[in-house]
Amino acid sequence: MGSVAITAVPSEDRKRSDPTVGLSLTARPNRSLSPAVRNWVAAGMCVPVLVVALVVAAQGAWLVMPFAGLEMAMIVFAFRWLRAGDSDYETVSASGHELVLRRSVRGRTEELRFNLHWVQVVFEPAGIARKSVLALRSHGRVHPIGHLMTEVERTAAADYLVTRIRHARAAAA
Amino acid sequence: MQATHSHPAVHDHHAHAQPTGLMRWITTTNHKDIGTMYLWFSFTMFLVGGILALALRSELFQPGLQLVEPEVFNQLTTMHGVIMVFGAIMPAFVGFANWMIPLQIGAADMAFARMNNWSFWLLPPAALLLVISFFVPGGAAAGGWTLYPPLSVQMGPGMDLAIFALHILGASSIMGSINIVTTILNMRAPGMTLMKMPLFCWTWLITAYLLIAVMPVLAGAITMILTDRHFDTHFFNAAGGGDPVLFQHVFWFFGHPEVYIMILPAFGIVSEIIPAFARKPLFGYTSMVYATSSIAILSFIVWAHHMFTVGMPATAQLFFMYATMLIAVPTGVKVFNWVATMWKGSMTFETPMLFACGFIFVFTMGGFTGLILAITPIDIQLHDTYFVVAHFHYVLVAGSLFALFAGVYYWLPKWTGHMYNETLGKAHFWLSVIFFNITFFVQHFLGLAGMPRRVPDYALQFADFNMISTIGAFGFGITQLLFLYIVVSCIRGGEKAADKPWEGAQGLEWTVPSPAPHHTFETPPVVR
Repeated sequence: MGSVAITAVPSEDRKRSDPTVGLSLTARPNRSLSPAVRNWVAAGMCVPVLVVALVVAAQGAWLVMPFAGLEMAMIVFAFRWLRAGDSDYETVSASGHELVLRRSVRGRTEELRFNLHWVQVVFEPAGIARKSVLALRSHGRVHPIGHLMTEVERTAAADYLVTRIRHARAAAA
Repeated sequence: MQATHSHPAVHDHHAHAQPTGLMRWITTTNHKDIGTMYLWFSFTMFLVGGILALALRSELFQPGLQLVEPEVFNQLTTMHGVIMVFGAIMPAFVGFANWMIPLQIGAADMAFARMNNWSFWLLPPAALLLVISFFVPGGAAAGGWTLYPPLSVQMGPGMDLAIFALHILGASSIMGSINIVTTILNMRAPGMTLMKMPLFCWTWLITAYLLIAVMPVLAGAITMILTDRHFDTHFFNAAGGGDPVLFQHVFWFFGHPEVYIMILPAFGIVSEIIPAFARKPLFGYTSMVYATSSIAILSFIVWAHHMFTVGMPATAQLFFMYATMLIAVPTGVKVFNWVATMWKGSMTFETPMLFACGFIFVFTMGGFTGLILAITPIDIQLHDTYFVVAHFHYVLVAGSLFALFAGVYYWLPKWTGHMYNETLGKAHFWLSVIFFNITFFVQHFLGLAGMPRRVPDYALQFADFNMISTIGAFGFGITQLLFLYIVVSCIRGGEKAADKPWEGAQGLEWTVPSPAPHHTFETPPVVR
């Protein structure tokens, strides 16, 4: 589940000076724990495993150790995977006559620019066993967005983008 | 500018990539699909384990050997235990966790959805290994579900298959546990603090910690058996300088927390149901959380009460006896809180509540016999008798299984979108509780009179109680077919369920439509 921030609607004066102001959508993953607390949780999972394994190994059952090691490696991997997704984000904003899509997925960032007057918002509602699809399409290429959003957030984001882009175009024209 | 719906370009990228039919279930990463598969798998294994139990009870219907040879009887006993513990009860609770935890904490899915899929699909091959082990030379493992050496070191390839299966099931449990911990801790809806979480999530969080702590111990122990069998190590071979009692210590260091792994989520389910049907908030929520944690911590220091007869210093006997008795305190807190929740509540007794009440009543009886067995001098007398069999079936059947039934009836409307047949549900409860007690209550007397467990023949003095027990077992088994009918009927149709079919139910899961949409939370959850 993600968290979506939509910027506040700007004043009418600012809208008149720049028709694209106010079109800004940011999605980030929802995290209940801070990275620091998450590290403590991971340690809190690994330490009992290690202590138990050491005690049992000390009694002669040392073959417990490799399995404990494997499990701790798995826990560390899982938490590192979570941490790698902490900085993920996706923003859609307008700048001049361009719609700018910026996103970062597990440290890999990309920026795509679309002509504001050509870009289409593609939305396909969710079906049974199928998530909804939100994408930006331009010049024959489709760029899915909204993977950090919930279903309702994707739907709201589609409506928001359609409305705001329409306003921006009208103002620019 | 336009918003395009169902455009072909999008189809190319996504829509057609979504598999249907069988592939939907094989490749699914949706927590509800996976939860459903866990529940069906566990019910299938419950029937398989139940058939083995009925074979055992058939043999025990009369003294003498009627149906199976003693070695086959031992195989049936062992595989009944292994299948019920690792194939039925544990996966059933994981199924509940998959279905309910994301719904209850307001998450869209589990933290590691693909790993969740792997966790499930490891189970069928493991179950297959267990079942086909009956058909290899020498038959299935026959050393009891505890796999004690030297029996487990001496057996045929069936034991290797069982060890391999247990490794796979353990890997599945570890993956599932990591998933559950990370989901609960990291994906709660904004505003849902730990102390606002439903008790079911709390009990599963603690259970997952237990699983993570003890699963490597089981893996190590059974690997040592494997190396003793095939690589001439002598971990447990006294003739080679090893110590068979070491296995018992190591096994029960895993095994006793395992008992709580099978009962703590049941506590969580019952703690959800009783407030809903008493129409009162749960009495002593905080103390319930601390009691659950206490039980989990204490479960690490009581293992040797399973092996008082191996010979240990009196100091150790006293320590393990008192530590075991200490567990009655937090467990008593829980029972008190459930009863206090019901006290002066506006109670109704629909099927989930009946099973929850039945759980409290019968589980408490199992708890009391546990206290009796905690007393070392008594345990030495009753060790490996039918009193122990009665005790742990009161805890695991009337405890875990009744709570599972309660949970199924409670959340079935949310899962299927239909109400189940209440009359049949109540019939299922009454038949189950009656036949359960017919089966197992008399086993207390058998044990007190000295009938040993895991023996296919017995003295004539035990004949009547064994006959009664077998009749009860068949009644209990047939009653579960009624449960299957109720669930299938509910899936296929029935009265439309409201989003919140139980007036007193609380929690985020009741804010979504019934049946819960494939992708949860069409409106973002609000937790205050």
